[in-house]
Amino acid sequence: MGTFNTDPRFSHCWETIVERNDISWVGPSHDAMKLCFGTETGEVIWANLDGKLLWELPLTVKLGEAINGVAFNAGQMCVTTRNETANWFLPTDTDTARTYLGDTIAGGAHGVIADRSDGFFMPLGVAGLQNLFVDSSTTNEHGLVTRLVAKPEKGDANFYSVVSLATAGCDDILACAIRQNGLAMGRFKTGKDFKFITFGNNNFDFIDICSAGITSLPSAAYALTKEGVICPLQNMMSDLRTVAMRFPSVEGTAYRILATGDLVFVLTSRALHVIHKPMDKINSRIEINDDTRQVHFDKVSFDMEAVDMNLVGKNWLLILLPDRVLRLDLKSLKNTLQQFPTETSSRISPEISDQLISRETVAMSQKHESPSSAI
Amino acid sequence: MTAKHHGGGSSSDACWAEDITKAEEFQVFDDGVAFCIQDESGNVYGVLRHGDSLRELGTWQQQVAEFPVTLPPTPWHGYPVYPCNSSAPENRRGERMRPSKAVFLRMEVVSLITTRQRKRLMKGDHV
Repeated sequence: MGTFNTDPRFSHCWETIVERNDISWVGPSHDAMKLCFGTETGEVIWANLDGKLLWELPLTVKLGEAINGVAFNAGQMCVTTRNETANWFLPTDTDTARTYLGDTIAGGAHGVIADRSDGFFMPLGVAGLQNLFVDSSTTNEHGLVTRLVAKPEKGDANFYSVVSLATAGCDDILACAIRQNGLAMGRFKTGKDFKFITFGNNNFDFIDICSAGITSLPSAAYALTKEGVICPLQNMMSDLRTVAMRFPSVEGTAYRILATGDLVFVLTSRALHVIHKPMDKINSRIEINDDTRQVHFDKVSFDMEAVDMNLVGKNWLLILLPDRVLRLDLKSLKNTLQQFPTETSSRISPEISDQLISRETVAMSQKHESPSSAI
Repeated sequence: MTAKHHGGGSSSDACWAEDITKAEEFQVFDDGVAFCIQDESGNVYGVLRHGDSLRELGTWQQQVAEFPVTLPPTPWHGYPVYPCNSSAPENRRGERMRPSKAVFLRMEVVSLITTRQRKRLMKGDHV
């Protein structure tokens, strides 16, 4: 297990911002030259890549709780906390009239992602999955956003994480981690009815899912359980077979999984784990139906107690620690791939495939709601 | 121990997980009282430490329980409450999320949770 303190691939960045604010979220911005920070007191602030706070950005945002997600799409910014969801039009030079317009909606979310058109998706826990979008044909009280919430008509589904995979025309292919209810996937078009396929069993508590980031496999994803089991899914559109990958070194409680194609990042309560191309090796195991339960992976781990992490393009992984923000340079990490130690997965369990492949189509009830107040 | 929060209520009622014993349920409350884990209204909150994590107390993976303040002789009762994000019902719009931030800060001060856990819980994330 390595340590980030002496590893030149890690940098301590944006110290001034972190010292002055209790940071709860850090990630990419709408501008590739800027980063976005969310604070525990509900503020969203921007900094340039060198760490300079950009006071000149004429947008001040403040919510009442710790920011847990920020996403940008079509000139809008959507921010979530455990208690609120807020949507703003970003300021532009030519459209000052809309600069400060926004809506806030009561009810928290576990984060937010941009959809393929001009809206946002956010998992609401047991309340369902929310789509927030600007509907120009609807004039609600505030005239800005429309809210569409979908949840199973029968049974529970704890929507905890959502990712948009390959696009099918204007549709989003959504994959969701729904805790002990398993995984869910469905094709979605903004403002239209949709259905989810759910699959899973109570033995696996799925807390996160991410795109594999592989160009040739646009519908590939990795799901992660709270116990640190990684489930690669090669094509969620057509093949829901997967296996359960367990590593001896992945201990503690799993928090997040992210991928950039070649590399998969797993953050737990004890460490950051980086695995090189796990999808390649697992695919062959599924296809040839090999009974071998152990596969060798190139994997490196860094001992740390982090809060959260986010990717900024394919260059950086930003890791939020309780008292600092770390920047992991992915280019330099790839340059040292040959130094990755080899770790044998203790158990590759194909039996999960038999249970996950049982599909259940769940009709989702939906309702439109207007925002509660304007900002 | 109310039947409502042990499977005897409606599907929308928060329920204790089956693997949480009565003794553990009492322990959650006792620790909350002993460490003064209370919000501004006097409601008591509690957790069960489990290694570097917290036990899941409820059927919706909640890790924090709430015991609403009562007046004697009404006995205390509680239920798993958080994190379990949900869209606020119409009659609860504008209501602040519970537990309050002060509850998490108090849990950190008395070392029931770590700073990392406090920061995650305040976002609505599991620990």
